[in-house]
Amino acid sequence: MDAEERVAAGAVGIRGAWLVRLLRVLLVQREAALVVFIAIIGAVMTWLTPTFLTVGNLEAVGLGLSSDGVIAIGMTFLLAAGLFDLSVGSVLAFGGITAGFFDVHGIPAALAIVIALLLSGGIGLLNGLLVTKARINCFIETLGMLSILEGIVLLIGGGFGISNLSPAFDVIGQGQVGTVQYPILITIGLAIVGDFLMRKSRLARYAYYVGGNAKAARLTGINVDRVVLFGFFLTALLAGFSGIVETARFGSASVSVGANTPLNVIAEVVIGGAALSGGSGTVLGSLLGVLLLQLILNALNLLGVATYWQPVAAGIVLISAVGFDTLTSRIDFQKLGMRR
Amino acid sequence: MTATGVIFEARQISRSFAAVRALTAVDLAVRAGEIHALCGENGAGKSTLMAIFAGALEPDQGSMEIDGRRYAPASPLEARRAGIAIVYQERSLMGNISVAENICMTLPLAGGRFLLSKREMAANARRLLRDLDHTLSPNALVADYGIARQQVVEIAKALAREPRMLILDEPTASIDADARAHLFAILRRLRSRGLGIVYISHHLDEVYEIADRVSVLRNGRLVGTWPVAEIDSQRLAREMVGRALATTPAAHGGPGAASGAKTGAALAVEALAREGDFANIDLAVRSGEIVGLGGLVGAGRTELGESIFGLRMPDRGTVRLAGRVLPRGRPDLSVRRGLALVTEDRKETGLFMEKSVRDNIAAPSLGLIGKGPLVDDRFADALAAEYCQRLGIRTPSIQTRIGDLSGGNQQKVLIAMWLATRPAVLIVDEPTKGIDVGAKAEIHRLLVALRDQGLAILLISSDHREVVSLSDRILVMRKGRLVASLPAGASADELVAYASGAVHAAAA
Repeated sequence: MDAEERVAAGAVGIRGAWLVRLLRVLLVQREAALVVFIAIIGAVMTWLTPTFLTVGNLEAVGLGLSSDGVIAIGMTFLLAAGLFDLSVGSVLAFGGITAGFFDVHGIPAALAIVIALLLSGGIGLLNGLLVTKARINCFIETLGMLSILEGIVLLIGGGFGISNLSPAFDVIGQGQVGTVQYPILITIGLAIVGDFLMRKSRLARYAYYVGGNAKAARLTGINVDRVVLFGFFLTALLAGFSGIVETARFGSASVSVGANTPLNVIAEVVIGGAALSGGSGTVLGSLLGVLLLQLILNALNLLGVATYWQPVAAGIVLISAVGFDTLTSRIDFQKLGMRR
Repeated sequence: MTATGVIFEARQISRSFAAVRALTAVDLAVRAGEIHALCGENGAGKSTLMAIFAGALEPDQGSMEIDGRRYAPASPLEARRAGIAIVYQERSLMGNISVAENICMTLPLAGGRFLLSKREMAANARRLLRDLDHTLSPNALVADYGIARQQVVEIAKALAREPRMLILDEPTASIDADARAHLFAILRRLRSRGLGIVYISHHLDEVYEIADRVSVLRNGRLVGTWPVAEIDSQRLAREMVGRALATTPAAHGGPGAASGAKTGAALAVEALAREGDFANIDLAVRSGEIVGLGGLVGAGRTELGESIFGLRMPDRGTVRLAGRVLPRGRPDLSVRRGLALVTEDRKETGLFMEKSVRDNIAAPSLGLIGKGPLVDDRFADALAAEYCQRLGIRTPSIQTRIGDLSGGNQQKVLIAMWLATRPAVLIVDEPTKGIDVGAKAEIHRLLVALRDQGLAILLISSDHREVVSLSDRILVMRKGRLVASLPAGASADELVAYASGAVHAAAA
């Protein structure tokens, strides 16, 4: 134990020493705390209802996780750089609608998907350019883009969306390896790569610096604009991709998906440990945040709670998570004299 | 006021933060009508002690009295009500509202009305500013005034509640000689009115100029309190640090001693100009040479340094590194070609305060070390460990958050950050601002050692003594132009004479 832990241990008595150590790990390592919460929810749900621990239910949770999870990877990068993107929900819908549109108009599925991805990435670049070159505040810019894309999606998809997609298209969303469906595998795969790159790649490291102190980052030679541009590009690309996978899963492109997505994803990434002001956050934490929220929503479903309560739950979880964060940092300092 | 004229007394003040003892049994008494200086190295406990006096912290042990009555504030507001006012080093003013509104911020609104009266606030402000600086307009925005005059507003704000004691924390940190003289005049006037003033400063010359008594803190303990007339500066410095210091130029081994300045400038600046900041700048720095750029605050030296490095775009002129033209406005290229800039404001533009020592030291080097798109953390660890050792950076570990270190160590990390890029030319801007005597001496020794190893150093500093004692050549800048070139051994007074325009260099 180091000096601070010793003092705190003295305060709670020798038997409490290991408890102090545990508390410190939990309070400081967000991922550890999340794992504990997830385990608790899992245990409680297993006890409350037999349906929780079934393959079908776990699959449902996994699928719910896969949609937000992919986008959360990009959002982790953006939040690390001190920014965020509110348009991801609309980009998600856009990706699905565009891919579906090209597919039913005779373009081979794979090509349709590639085009939709390129267009989504292009939107991301546009977001990035407006924020870096035109210096538009990212909140305003992505809010505006959200609205623009909403309209475009309706223009392309009409009132009812696009259905009757080719079977080749549906494979991504509906195929599976063993009992695990493609979307889940894709998400896990992207998350593993994403986590590694966030920890180890130079560009990601730059993002953390930019989020920490953009002025100092520029001074050290980091091309801040390039980092920001990449962040928006990546996030929109992943959002479009997520929309495509959703569409493939359901076999049709909906015009109304993604309304809650930006809020949910930002909440999940913040729960996962990212600060809104930038400079922190990991993909692992974000994915755990996604899993936590999805488990809570799943729990509400299983317990027969009306779906209208879901956004309420999401909001409560977000406020609680951030509140927990700030409260524990204050408790640390005053009561136990521990430094973070 | 007690019979002995003591208006404020602190007895046996102790305070710890977890395992760290910040203060141990400190006694301090302040009399009416005196300026009581408080000196000590960074980490000695001055800020903690002042925070306790001003109600921002509670002591673990000890007691305080004002005019003989018990004083135990539970908050800064109570301290203000009890008659203790403090002006911190960080500006507490809001730039976007008026002078009068800032000054009256801590005053209760008269009569319980909830509408603010601009006229009443302006009248209050005018009254308070009368003795301080009557040229300040109560209705002007604070942001329209420079740092020195903003400080006068800060003092007026502190005086708004008619305190018994005024505490000033490093008030001369970022103001020039003119403003300092003005400030001292204000303090003397306040002293004659019976106010007790606590003056915290690292600058011993100021202590001798303005203070009546001086107290020294070292490692959280009070070393002693003396009338200023009864202790000489060498002894005072020794009490602060606990060991003798080398403070004379001779101690630094003389100009360009070791390797000898080579011909062919490492850094050459020709006809550099930037509208509104500086014009017609020609200068050269050779390897193994320290060129000091002296001048008053506002002369444009920082802007020049930033323009040379590429943080700002100059309008005209060229910068050459070892003869090769450096593209303007490209900090990344500058770093790659061996030019580094240590900025004057380590908190704002220099360091990543929330990140670890290692992350800070490695930051500019990330683009230079490691292969490919991945970061080599082990290399970064080794780099950080190496420079911590070389510069004597005191930190529990390289993973410690920089914000937790003392000012002197933070400054060393900033310098290490840039040294790690192995530059050939180093521009340092205010390298010892806001750090204590001991760390200052260490950084001076470091700069001299770097020069002896062949580095070309452009030293920008408002500390005239520092410029004069370290430089092999001194350039003086005034209002954006180079007005004089002085040899090593010139006196600080000469520098100030040219910098303030009191003397003009003869043509050619």
